[in-house]
Amino acid sequence: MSRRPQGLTAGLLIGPATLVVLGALVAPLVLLARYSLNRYDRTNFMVEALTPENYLRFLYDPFYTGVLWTTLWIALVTTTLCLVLGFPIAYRLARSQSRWKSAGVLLVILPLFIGSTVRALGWMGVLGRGGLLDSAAAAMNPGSSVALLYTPFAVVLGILSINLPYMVLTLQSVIEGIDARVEEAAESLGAEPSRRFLLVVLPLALPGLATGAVLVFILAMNAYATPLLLGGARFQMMAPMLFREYAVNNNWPFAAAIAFILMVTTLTLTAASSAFVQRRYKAA
Amino acid sequence: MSASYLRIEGLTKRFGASAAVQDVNLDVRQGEMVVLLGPSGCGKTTTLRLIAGFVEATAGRILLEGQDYADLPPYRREMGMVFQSYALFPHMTVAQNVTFGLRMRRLPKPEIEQRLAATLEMVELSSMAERYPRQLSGGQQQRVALARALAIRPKVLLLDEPLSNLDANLRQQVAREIRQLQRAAGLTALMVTHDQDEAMMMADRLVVMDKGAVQQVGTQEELYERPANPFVARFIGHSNLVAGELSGGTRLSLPDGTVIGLAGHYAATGPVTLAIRPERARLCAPGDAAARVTVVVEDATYVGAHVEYLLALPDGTRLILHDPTDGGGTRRHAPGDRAGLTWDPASERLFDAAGVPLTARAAIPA
Repeated sequence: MSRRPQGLTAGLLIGPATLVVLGALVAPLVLLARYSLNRYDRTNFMVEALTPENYLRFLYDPFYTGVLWTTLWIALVTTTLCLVLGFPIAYRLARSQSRWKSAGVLLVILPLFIGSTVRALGWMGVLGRGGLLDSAAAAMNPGSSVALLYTPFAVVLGILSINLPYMVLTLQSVIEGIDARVEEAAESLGAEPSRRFLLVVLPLALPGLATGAVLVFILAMNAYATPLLLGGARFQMMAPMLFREYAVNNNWPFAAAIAFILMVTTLTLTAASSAFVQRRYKAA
Repeated sequence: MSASYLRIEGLTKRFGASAAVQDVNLDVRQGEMVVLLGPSGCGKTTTLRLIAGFVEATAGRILLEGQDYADLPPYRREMGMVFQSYALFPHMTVAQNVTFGLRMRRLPKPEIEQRLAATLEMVELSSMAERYPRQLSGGQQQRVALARALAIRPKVLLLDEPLSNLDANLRQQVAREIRQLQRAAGLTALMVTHDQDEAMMMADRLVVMDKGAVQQVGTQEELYERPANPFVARFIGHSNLVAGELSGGTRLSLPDGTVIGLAGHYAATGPVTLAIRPERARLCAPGDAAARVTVVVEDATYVGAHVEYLLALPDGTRLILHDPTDGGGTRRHAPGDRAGLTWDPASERLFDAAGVPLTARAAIPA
């Protein structure tokens, strides 16, 4: 056995990952930050400068702040729905002792095998004019039509269907970590199901709920294909708008600024919510 | 003795085709401590969980003070449960754990405070009220679990292997403490354990279970001196079991032709099982008139209170014998020696092919 100091071995082991992170994440971010301070010019596209004008343009134009708000509330609504709909599924799966449990888990994972673009196209077929719902409505009540495509509802539905499996899988592993005997103890001490849930299961699952919520919130904030395909031309969210500024308008400085505003907003809210949960958890 | 307080009638739990608990009948008197004892997988824990209400019975009734509890959810059963893993609420302090059941009952605050103080004092944890379970030792956690169950003044206290997670040297002490608390409070209690010593120490009566069925219910002495079948004879204490053919009232013939001269005279004939406890048999000279069978000493180990002999019958069946030490000559027989084996009529147990004990009509003097 070699007597190499432990610190050196550890350093060698995390070295490659550190290099990848530095090269693939930090360097582009630094570059992006630099771009966001440049100036845009119609003929030269990007001009070297050190100006806050891209950020100011975003913050003072109600159109752009409106897009940020839309993105935020869509993300919050889908995160809340994921929590509310995901918890019962995750709980059933976690506490199941049936031999169908792994089939259930597979059913939850299966949608993840299909890309978000393909699934958005599927929803278009269901929600669009002449789609499944529309034809069904017309058949039941001739002359009527249901136009759900290109509405916020369609976007929420699309993002929800993509994010729900992540939430269920996160919560399932957390609930499995809660000793089922603790719930039985609460029951035997006189706690009916509602109080057992509120006083025992929920507080113990809280860190897991926060992890799951952060995960799906970040995914929703950065959703691209779903809002683009299901939201339609007049529905704007941050990621599609960012791409348009970058690829269609060739305005790299402004696109970089949008990217940073999206990132900072997401990170701030994420950090704030975990800090809140951590404090609650300690106090509880 | 007062009448039955907790009565269990025909309690059965099937999982698919297999029965985890099969037709269990039991009467528990008020203030009694009954211990369910058996090897793992014998259905004792399922029986306890059926009574607690965590498992729904396939058939049978659970009557407490005459009321049928079988259809009540656990939170209406007023039974305090102490779990093997303690199952304390990790996010609550000791005080919050102990008062949980009282808060569920919406008792007035002064009463909650008063019961908390009294219960913590009872388990000697008054100074730990504000600690979290993770800050306590295993023994302290166990006492919190007990206090939490006692605080609700349960109609029945259920204990599922309460001592198995404790250090060996702490176990006896905690066993005595639980017993004292239970007696002092006049609590009716049902405990599950696989540990025979624990069961013998704590029980008023024991229920021996195997393969989902009750094998025998009785006091320590009844189980030890009058086991209802070979399983109980071997499981409680230890018994050497020898299978053979009974003929002529007193002859037990083994398959290889060896004949054991029994101490009793029996009316039955046919296949039987002989059970002899290690400390109830003696060795003598091979040709001694008292010898019921001749054995070969395979091993002799001095273990303090007795010498443990490993003996072999002519057909190879191994027997264990405990010869009490008396401070004088120890290992009276050395490995390789031939010796006679004998026992008194009162120490002989014979079971028929169905496992039912046979009674001797007359004793044959050795």
